[in-house]
Amino acid sequence: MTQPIPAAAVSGAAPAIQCTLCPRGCTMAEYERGRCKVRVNKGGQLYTLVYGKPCAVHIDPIEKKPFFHFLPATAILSIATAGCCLECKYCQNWEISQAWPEETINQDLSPEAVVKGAVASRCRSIAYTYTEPTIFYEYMYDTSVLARRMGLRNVSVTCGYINPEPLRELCQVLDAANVDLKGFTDEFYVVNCGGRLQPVMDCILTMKKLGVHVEITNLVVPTKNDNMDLIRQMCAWVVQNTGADTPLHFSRFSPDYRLRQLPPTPIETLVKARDIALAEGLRYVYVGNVPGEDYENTICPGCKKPVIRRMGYRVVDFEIDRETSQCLYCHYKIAGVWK
Amino acid sequence: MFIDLKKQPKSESLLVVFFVTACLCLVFISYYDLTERPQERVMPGTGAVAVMTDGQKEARKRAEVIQKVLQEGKLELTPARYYRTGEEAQT
Repeated sequence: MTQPIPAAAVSGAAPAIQCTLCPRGCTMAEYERGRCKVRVNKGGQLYTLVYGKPCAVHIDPIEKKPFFHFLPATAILSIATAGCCLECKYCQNWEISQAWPEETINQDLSPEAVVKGAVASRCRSIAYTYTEPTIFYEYMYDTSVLARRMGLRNVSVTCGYINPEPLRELCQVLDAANVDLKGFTDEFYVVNCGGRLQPVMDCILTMKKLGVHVEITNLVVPTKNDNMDLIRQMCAWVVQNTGADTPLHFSRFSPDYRLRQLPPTPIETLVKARDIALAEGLRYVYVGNVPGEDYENTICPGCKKPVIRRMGYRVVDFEIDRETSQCLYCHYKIAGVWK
Repeated sequence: MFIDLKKQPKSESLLVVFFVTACLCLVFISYYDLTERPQERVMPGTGAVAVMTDGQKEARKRAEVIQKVLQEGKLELTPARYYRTGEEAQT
């Protein structure tokens, strides 16, 4: 395919510009949008179409994000706009992530209104989630600044596809992130997501370095990224680079979007992945989207007793001292943000 | 039917079937070839010839959509950060 004609050549309009927010680096002619569908060139300046226009606003339990080591059993105000910088074939929120912002039903919700809503709903934090928050960067950033002033925490549920400069700035107001490490080969990212692996790894490292609480999610898709050798390599990388205390969630795939022909991930596969992660030295490994199993509980690495028992998104038992982060049975310090 | 195959010798019937199939294939191939092939058009006032692909036409259509959406006030433009302009943007 040939490249789009620069608008100037067509109509004498503004020159092309290049978005540097995410590693895709889209070049846009006049009125052209990036692959994210929400950032547009007008008159040689970059604009966002989704500032203050969320298409999803919900109050969720924080466990749903999932965050298991960050303010457990608290409510979180979750917002998203249309669009995404990746195009995962198995996206579970593709109706909004792959939509154009003019196609979704959007609310008018300024950053001030989001923060006010979170405080009124007794939420302890705000989540930028459902789609990729990077693409509504300005909205997320401004909301986060206000949220911090009101004593709220900011969390991002992200694919980690963001360039270092905007990421570093964001980390100044970000408290926690759940980064989706989708696979552990570049080929997987190229073929299934329209992205690359390295920027995601870099993002995780930067977040960790800048003091953001990081949890990692790996959605295991049958035949696509369920190779146990690669899962082992991924776990070893996590241990080496972000530490054995990093919570890792293996999530169950359910057939969606362009991968409807695949079956849901067998539970045995997820359990096997969890066993590998534990064998590699990770201390907190969970299996998600499989309610009713014990794999959602937090086990104290010291005494091996369950210190947080969960049922679905509900915390039914909490045996950690929120002040000292210690296990109530053996005083082992459990990694996380508990208050 | 223009040609009654039952009345034709077997080899001729096969020839007709082959000919018709080949024609259908040609029509099919040219249709897809044409729709994917970039189309030339002269830019007004410049005499320059630009090449428009389907992707570009789609982009143009999207530009029209966005102008309409903005006029209707469904979405608004808010200045965004992190971009490059000019020659830097082409690299």
